[in-house]
Amino acid sequence: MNRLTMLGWLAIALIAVGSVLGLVVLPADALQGEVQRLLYVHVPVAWVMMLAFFVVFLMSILYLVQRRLKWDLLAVSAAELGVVAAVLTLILGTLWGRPTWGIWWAWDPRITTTALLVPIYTGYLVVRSMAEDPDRRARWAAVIGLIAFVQVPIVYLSVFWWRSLHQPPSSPQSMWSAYGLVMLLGFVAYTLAFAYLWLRRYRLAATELELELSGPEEG
Amino acid sequence: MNDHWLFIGAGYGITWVALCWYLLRLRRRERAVAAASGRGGEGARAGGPG
Repeated sequence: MNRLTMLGWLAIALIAVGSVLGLVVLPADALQGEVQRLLYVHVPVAWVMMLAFFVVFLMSILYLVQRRLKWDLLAVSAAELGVVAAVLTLILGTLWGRPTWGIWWAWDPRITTTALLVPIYTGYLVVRSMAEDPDRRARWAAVIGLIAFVQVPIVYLSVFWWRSLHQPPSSPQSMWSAYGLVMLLGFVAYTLAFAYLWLRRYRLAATELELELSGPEEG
Repeated sequence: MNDHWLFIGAGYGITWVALCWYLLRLRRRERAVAAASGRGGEGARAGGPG
């Protein structure tokens, strides 16, 4: 079993353990009741979303500095996972918000700025498909990857800038110790899952590029 | 209070389904690329969970 495979299994095991602890072992929250159990997934997935978009930003800078396609492939792999995590974050938030706030959706600054990440990074992925030349594609994508990241700190700071419906960030420090530990486990588990999927997606992207550069007639 | 479990179940369920969906999609693409590059089966061995 290679290291990447081990990483995948470790992520799955930790997600399973975190789910059991969050769903069965921990008692219901005194204020929010049972529905608080959703936060052990919602918050780590939201963290993965931000991490993924930060990786896109970082890889975009590296590409623009070094012009190596490897950085572009690492960026697109993270962007794809970031979009999936963003959609999941919104769905989980909605499922938590309906019983807690009594509404499915609100044009709250945190929710709205998070929702904007989906079209922004989907646009990043769509623009890539419009350029045939790998270097041009990587250049366009890197510039968009840099500009798009402006939205991420806005999402994070939105709950501090505009005191609205969404509460300030939940973190292991802001919760009672046992709840905090399960939250921390969620952060570790979903970060490992991201790392596993990201590296595997990168490996696929590298093989696809190899094929693209070698041309169909050689296949 | 009990209907909260519907929301909790849906949340956890959707998350697991999304992870499985992404993993399966990745594996399908790996197999297609392996076949196209004449390295049949390598994608399947790229492996790991999924």
